[in-house]
Amino acid sequence: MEPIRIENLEHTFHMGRLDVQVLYGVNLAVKEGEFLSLCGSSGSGKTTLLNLIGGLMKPTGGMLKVNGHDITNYSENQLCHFRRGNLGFIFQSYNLLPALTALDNVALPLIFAGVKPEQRRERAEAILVRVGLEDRLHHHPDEMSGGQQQRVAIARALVSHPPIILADEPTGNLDTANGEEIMALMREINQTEGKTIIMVTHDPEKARRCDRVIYLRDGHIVNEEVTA
Amino acid sequence: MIFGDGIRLVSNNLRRRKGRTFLTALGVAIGTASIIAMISLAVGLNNVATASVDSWNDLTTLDVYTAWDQNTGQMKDPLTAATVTELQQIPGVSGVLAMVNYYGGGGLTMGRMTGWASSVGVDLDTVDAYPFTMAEGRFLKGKGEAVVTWRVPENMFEKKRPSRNNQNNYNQYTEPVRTDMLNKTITITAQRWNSDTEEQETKDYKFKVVGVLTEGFSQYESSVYLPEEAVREMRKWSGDDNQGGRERADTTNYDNIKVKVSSRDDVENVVAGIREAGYETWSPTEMLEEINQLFLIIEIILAGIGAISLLVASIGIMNTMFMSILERTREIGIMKVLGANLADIRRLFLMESGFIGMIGGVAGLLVAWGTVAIVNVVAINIIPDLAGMNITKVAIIPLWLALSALSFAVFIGVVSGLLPAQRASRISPLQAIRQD
Repeated sequence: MEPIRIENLEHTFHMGRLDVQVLYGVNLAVKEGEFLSLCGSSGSGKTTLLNLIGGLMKPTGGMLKVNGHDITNYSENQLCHFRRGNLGFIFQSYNLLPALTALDNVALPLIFAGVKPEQRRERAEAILVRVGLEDRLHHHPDEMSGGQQQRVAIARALVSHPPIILADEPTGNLDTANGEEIMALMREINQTEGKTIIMVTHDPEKARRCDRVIYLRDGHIVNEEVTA
Repeated sequence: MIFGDGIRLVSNNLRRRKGRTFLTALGVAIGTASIIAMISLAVGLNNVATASVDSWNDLTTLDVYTAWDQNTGQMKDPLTAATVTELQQIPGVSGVLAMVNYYGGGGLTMGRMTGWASSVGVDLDTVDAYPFTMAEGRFLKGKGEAVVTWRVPENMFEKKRPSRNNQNNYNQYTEPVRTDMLNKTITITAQRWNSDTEEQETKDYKFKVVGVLTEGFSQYESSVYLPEEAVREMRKWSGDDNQGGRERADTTNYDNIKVKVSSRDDVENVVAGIREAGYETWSPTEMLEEINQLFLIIEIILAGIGAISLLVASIGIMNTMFMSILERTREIGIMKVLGANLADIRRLFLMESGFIGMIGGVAGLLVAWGTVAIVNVVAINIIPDLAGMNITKVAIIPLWLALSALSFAVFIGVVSGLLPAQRASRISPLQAIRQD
């Protein structure tokens, strides 16, 4: 099964009188359980592609099917509902809520999914233990290192058991050691839980640690490399 | 999103910005306190006025009069025995007392004691159905009997014996003393002018006092109730039926009728029934209604004035919420990415603004309670007459006022958050999370 299928996908940014096309006829199919990397320099369209897959933007052309949903023409509300339970997000700048503890940050998606407090707490704790943060449950983001914050973000991405994880430069704000830990964690999650992971990176070396690398330049897929 | 989770998220956010929350809620508190304090004063003064009317009127006793026909300029149907029957059939009427009055003098003596009372003749056939409340004895049942009101025994004067220094009978009476009149004989003296002899003539009528009415029957009435026939006889002898040159067309008419209503709730219907029957009446409850309406208008005006300050507070809430959205744009974007839909975002911001309204409402209610307590203490000490009317408060906060003001404060908070909540829900998640 192909959890992600993209056909002739295009996207143009409308900025007043200026239209800027950033994706040109992209075709892509992602297999279930695949660890895929989108690699390219700044402005290549890799982040735009990831955001379209994540339903954070609506494409201006083509077809986009994710986990059985044709989300090409979904409304904003439909996209919100779609993201719950289908997708987990990991961002370069972690995007944790500073006022909440690690436990509360991880439980946040479950709050919007209407999960009861006892179940929420159990699942969030279990996930945080899973990512090695059992002694940071009640710490706020400003009390943790960058690597720990990214682990919390990964835990938050996993807590709803989504089949697909989208990671935008997950090691971009981390030092080498922490970056390695995060990559290893993501690989482990992919292998043990069978999650489909799509990672955006500008670093070819990190990209080759995935199963397959899609290279983009100026909004086109220019190359594809199977590394696994 | 479960409601309890929303409450938790909202209270978390408000605690993070305590100073701003406090200042915004303060505006609501001032508005709420002013509304409650002003209306509580109107409610309290309404109660004072009602108690005052209550204290000098029996609200369930109605006086019935002949109505004035505006078309013909004449009085309508006189009060007769048929009127009594008609009035007795009105639902809610527990008793009817038809009366004729003696206007020609009426001095009252008992031994050496003398006093004054108007003589009122009552139809003995109707007295059983009228709920008299006796302080002593019973109401009259037959000829030769009399019943006095409470005031009569209190205003009896004893004639002094003339002394060497008081030969001209100057200041010949003692101060009034309360006199025991039960089972004593009184003399009512009728008067008339004999135009032939040009002399004042008097005639004595003797009655045995069989009862004294209670103080509340008619506080200001100083009367002696006699059998109807006796009073008509007195009137006829003294020419009362030809008083002032006018002849009364029918000497069987009554001068006025008292109607006793079974309960205060029936008064309005009985008044309507009396007027429908073509007679006129007046009830102190009508005055009470007018008083209540006046105070209702005052309460509405005061509420309107207080609402203006709440309106200003609502602008403050709106401003605070818009600022909050600006500061939390990234946070809103993250929540949307994590699955919060537009309704969730709107709900969170509406709950937050409603919470601010509630905090301000509760604080305002507490301030109002304190203010009202102080006003009451000061008023009772400054106005001693209030104690005589058993009034201990001039400002009252009824439960409906407290709950209404609190609800209104929350409502203002929620309404103030509508626009900001709508703005928040429209934030693009992608643009939001890209903000630094």
